[in-house]
Amino acid sequence: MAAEQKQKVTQKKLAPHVYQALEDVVGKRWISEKRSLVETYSKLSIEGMTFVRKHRKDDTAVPACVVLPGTTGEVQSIVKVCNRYSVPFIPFTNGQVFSATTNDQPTLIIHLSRMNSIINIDTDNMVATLQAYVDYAQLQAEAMKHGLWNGGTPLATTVCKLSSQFSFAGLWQTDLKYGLLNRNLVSVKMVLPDGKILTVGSRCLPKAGDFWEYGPGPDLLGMQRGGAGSNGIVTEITVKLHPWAGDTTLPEVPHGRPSLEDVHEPKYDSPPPPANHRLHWIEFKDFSSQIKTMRDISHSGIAIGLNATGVYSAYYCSQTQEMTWERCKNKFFPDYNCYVIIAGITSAKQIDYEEKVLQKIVERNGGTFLTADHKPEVLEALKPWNLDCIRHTCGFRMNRKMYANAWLPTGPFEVGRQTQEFWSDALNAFGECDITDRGGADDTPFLYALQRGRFSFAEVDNYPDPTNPEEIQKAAGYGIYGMARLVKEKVCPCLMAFLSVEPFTTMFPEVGPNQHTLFQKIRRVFDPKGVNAPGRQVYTREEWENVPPMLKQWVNKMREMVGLESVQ
Amino acid sequence: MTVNKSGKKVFEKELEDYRDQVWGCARCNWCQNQWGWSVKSAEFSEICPAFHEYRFFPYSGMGKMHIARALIEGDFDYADAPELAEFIYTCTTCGACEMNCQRMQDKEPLKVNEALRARFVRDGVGPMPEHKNLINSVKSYDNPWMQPRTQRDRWAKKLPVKDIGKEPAETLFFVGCTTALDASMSQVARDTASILLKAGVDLGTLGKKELCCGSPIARVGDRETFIELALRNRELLNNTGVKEIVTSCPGCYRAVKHDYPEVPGAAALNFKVYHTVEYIDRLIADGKLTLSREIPLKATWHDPCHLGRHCGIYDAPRNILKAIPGITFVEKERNRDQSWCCGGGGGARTAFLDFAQRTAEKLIDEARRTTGAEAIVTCCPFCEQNIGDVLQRTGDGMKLYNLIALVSQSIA
Amino acid sequence: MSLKKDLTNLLGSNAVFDDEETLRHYSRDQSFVPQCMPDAVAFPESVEQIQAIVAYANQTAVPLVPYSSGLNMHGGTVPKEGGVILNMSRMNRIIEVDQDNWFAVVEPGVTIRQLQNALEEKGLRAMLPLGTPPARSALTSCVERDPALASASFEYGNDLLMDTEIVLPDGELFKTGLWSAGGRPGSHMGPVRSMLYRFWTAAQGTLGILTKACIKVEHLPGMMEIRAFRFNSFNESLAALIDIQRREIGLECFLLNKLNLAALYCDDWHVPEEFPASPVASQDFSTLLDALPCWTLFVCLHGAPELPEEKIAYQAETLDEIAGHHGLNSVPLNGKQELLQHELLRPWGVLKKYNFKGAVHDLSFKAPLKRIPEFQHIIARVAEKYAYPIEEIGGYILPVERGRGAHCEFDFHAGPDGAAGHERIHALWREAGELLVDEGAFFDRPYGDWADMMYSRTGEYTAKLRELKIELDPNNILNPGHLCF
Repeated sequence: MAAEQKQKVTQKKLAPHVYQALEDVVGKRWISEKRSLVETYSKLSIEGMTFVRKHRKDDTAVPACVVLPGTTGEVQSIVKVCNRYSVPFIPFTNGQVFSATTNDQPTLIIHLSRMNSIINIDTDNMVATLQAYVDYAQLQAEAMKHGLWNGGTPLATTVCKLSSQFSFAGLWQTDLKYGLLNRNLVSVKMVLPDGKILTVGSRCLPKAGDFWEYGPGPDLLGMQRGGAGSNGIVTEITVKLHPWAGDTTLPEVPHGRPSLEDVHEPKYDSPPPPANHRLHWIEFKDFSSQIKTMRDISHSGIAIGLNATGVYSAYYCSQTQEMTWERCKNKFFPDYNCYVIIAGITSAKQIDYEEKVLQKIVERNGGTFLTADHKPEVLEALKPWNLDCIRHTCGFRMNRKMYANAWLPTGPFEVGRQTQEFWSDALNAFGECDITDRGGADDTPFLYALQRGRFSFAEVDNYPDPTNPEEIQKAAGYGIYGMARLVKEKVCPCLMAFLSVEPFTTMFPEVGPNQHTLFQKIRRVFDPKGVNAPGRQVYTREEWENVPPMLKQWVNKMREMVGLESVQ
Repeated sequence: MTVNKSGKKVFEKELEDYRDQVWGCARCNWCQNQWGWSVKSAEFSEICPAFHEYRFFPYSGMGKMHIARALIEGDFDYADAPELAEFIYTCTTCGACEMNCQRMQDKEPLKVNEALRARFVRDGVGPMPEHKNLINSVKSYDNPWMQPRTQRDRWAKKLPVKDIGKEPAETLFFVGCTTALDASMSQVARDTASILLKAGVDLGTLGKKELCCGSPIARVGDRETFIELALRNRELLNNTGVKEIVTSCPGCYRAVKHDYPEVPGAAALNFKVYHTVEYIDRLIADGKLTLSREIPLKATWHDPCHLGRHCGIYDAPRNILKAIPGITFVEKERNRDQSWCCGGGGGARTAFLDFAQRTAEKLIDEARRTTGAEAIVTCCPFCEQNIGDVLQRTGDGMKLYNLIALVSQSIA
Repeated sequence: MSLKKDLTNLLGSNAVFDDEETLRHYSRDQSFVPQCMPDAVAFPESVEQIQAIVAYANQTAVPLVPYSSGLNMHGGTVPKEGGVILNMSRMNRIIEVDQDNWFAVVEPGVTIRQLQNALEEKGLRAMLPLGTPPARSALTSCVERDPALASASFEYGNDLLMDTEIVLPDGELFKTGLWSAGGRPGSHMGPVRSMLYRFWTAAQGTLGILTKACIKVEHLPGMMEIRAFRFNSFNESLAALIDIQRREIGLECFLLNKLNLAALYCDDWHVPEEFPASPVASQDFSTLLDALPCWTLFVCLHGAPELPEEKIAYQAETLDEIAGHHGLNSVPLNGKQELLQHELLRPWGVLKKYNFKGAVHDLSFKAPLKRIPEFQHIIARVAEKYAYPIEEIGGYILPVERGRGAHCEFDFHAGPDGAAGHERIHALWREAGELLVDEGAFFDRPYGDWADMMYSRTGEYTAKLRELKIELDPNNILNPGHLCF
């Protein structure tokens, strides 16, 4: 069909005087409202609703204008303009968000791509201060030169910006020892929705320096984490660093580098682990022994990372989608497994000790190490993890189709079992979109051990065809069903793609309970004019009235399906 | 949904053939960044020259995917977005986005951009005006530089190279338009021929009959002209009877070796294709060439995109550099598949000279600061032109060599 | 109706007191915070009762002072505007100890001694702060961010608070962490990985009343080995201390100056029950004070549950290597090993220091390790100005998270309120505090006079706290007058 026969999606624009005021802040070069330019800020990564809106030709998905500030001062001025003219704005880094928010008002995107410097690496106090657009790989690369590192990288890969992950994401391979990003924050410098600057932690006291994460008194840092970026724009973030046992750079893959002619050859994905680090893979006969072993390893105090990958290795470690499908079908990777990352931070003898303990625990629980003698081909295929466990790079292989929906419930390791059960129910209710959707139902969900195994994250996802609106709708069913089911079963949904923040906050008042009323109060304090990503974390009453009835109906349908009353 | 499943050749694919891919772009942003494991510093962690310069997403591979999606679905058209050509043509076609996206996501942002360009040309909204001169020149003169055909073999004066039209030879030296016709580059052609002759290669050229390989035309999206050229060239080359073709231009190399087979409806090539560095590396390994004269120089290698990332020739030039006595070889921070483009490719230099040169400036800066080298060595006429112009304009002390020149010096 | 009658209607008999003696008891603590009489003391026994009192307070604008053990020692529970002391000591159940997932669920009245005893029976332990009274509320200690002795370890000593249950100033019950979903506890993270719970930390009950908390616990080490090194100044220890931290050696690692160590070692003294205590003369203390080094660094190696000897061995080997490299003077712990190991699990022996003069007024702040000597210098200078003997300043330095910063406590010893020189020490303490804050010493838990010192300098942070307080507690019923409210 020729393009001109199709329905266009028009762009709403800012009033000329608003545009001019913004241009006065950043200069002509760093602002644009060109139709094709704003388009590239309109279909997000993981947020299923933007796909739905695209298929529906919904013009509210298209922002009005994009502006690129170069300094915190410029961000302040932009935000003040937005306040003056009541223009909603959305801070933006990569666009890998779980929650979009353009609405029927012409919306400004504040893309922080020019603010990409590491401001300081304080080796004395083991902290690094970064501008908003600095990513994990950059931070690691610089920190490692000083024998330090940031403690982990997210599965969403090292290209994620820490300032953005601060808002609500950041699962790491090394959560066992280092926790998530939220355990590794020291401070932020935020431009509040009214244009004022808020700094937190010791940084807010003149001369104190930037090393301490709390206070003074009640902590405002934690309130921003989980705020989904709706309480202000983080322009600088200071994070903790930890002793790094490896070399100043990561090792090269011995087989060299690929070219476009042979990029899919597995040999290029076979790096060794970093110096003074080891990665061990263990296979289990069932889920119970997997969990038992993971708990024992966690309690033993060894290792910096411990996760079960199940079928997820078929995504990360397969160089093509065909290979992924093939391996899922043939159960190439063990259904029940885990990997253990060991680091010799104190000395090489630490590695010896920890390997000995690991051996003991695995033997006791009937696990089997993958070795040159036992499933060497599987061990070879798992090699991307050797570096991914430290600097996660291959994560977006999950998204070759569309990563429409993720459930990430939290709880003790047993939450994995509940996840299996609920996900299986969802598969039965909705039918799979793709063979890979069965990951987590027929085997272990991805299971991350956090903070010495006190709790874990389980993850299951599905992958519809992004060109197929019906499949996306089906995936939406999974997402909303999952939220409802977890709430019904009183399992904490720490993050759910497709429906991660609003309308979750308002439509699941059981959580908190009534966390939306508290969030509304917080929002009133930080964003009285409702200009900062409005409706992302919590709706005002007016915004709630304007939520598309379709979405409310979807959520209520799923609430009813699991036995929760409708929310009006 | 994966790539290359349509059964169509690249040069017959329409933008719509990439519909699955563009809808499936996950915004992973690896099209703008060094492959994670390879990042060695914050400063040199990006990889897309256009995004690095302009900072808005349409300049990135990802941006092209999103624009392509919207055009395919008719969300807007050319009239709504007169700016489109700028976004589409600032790309240097370096392929870095495609490298990382293929590896990560199994998708092809560069091919999507080339399909966009093809559509623009088809619909009369592309290429950029500057490119039209180049295309017209190829149509009129068989080279993009508006040089008469008679000039094409001037470089070879007094060299005992066979004219393949007159006498048979085993090996054809496909010189390439820029090397043959740009006076500042023609020494490369002379050096190449001298070296190969010295190694005993039975060498011939097409003389004045050599045609543009079509690479610049293909890159700016004029498929019709390119396909015609490719078909002419294929026939011409297949009829030479040579066993192998050697070219010193990465653009020609990629075009003949990889683009021609993607042109629909033509016979296979009946000869092997080599780039000069690959060929010389083999001659050295076989003992047919000895590099004996010392060249005291601390040098780094710049991987031309069309040679390295596109065709996988990483080791040969490094082997040669390391084999030259006196040369201290130092690796730039970004190298091989993650090398930083010089900015000269894809028609960017022709239409966006400032951008192309700023990209080269960044390359020179990286070379200096991450290696301490005195010289950048490369082997692509476009890279040489673009980097060389910047060095000349800025009076930068960094030296620039074509590898062939160094080989020639070391042999002599 | 009288306040007492109203409250009795809500709580029942024997739960509300307003006699002079009781009110006086709650009107002050051992700190310099001025005395202020409450109007009544109420002992709720359930969340519902607390909610009822909060509703009542909102109707009548009666201030409420949340109170668990009253052992904050810095005036956190001393009323500023009268009102009702909400003494939650009767809510003292250890609701759960989860041996699989290593957490304990406690009510506000559970003391740290009670918790530690209960945990030990199950092979577990709580991570406790040094020098906190055994009767202090375990929940409050966590919520008020008392720095655990194991703070040097990133994983084991910090961020001990997980799920919380809070009665908000409007009487609504709100839960954070896994509890927010209504199910089992076990994580500090709630929906969207929120860290909202931190808002109520170090809030001195001004923003909500915590009625239950889930706290991280650890395994009880089957084996420990404590190493000690002597230094003539803190500065002298710095290089080795940093190396030890960077190699992640030891679960606990801290320095005590000779006054604190002498108090801990002193056989003549016992841990007081009341604060301020009555001074007790001790020859043993004086002798120890003469004999001990200026500063002693303790590094505590713990055996893990698996192969504990081998774990201690590899750590000891690296520690020896560092000690050798820096030429450290090791201190033999003859006869003290057991006492110190006991102190790690029940870290209140050092409170014997209250026997010295009765009251202890600390300057308790966070600082980068390398800046500590600078702050020590300020304290010494002010002490000199006020003719306070330097050797009578107590010192405790606790590296946090492998030396990212440190918790510092410097004590001035004084007689109880009204004793000779009390005002002078107050002036000294206040001036030193001001100068420290001026130079960037970070009093992250701003009790008493520190609140003004800090909040007058922290601009927008202070403004936002005030705005949030007004939004959440429009009638300002919760512990008014504290912090910046």
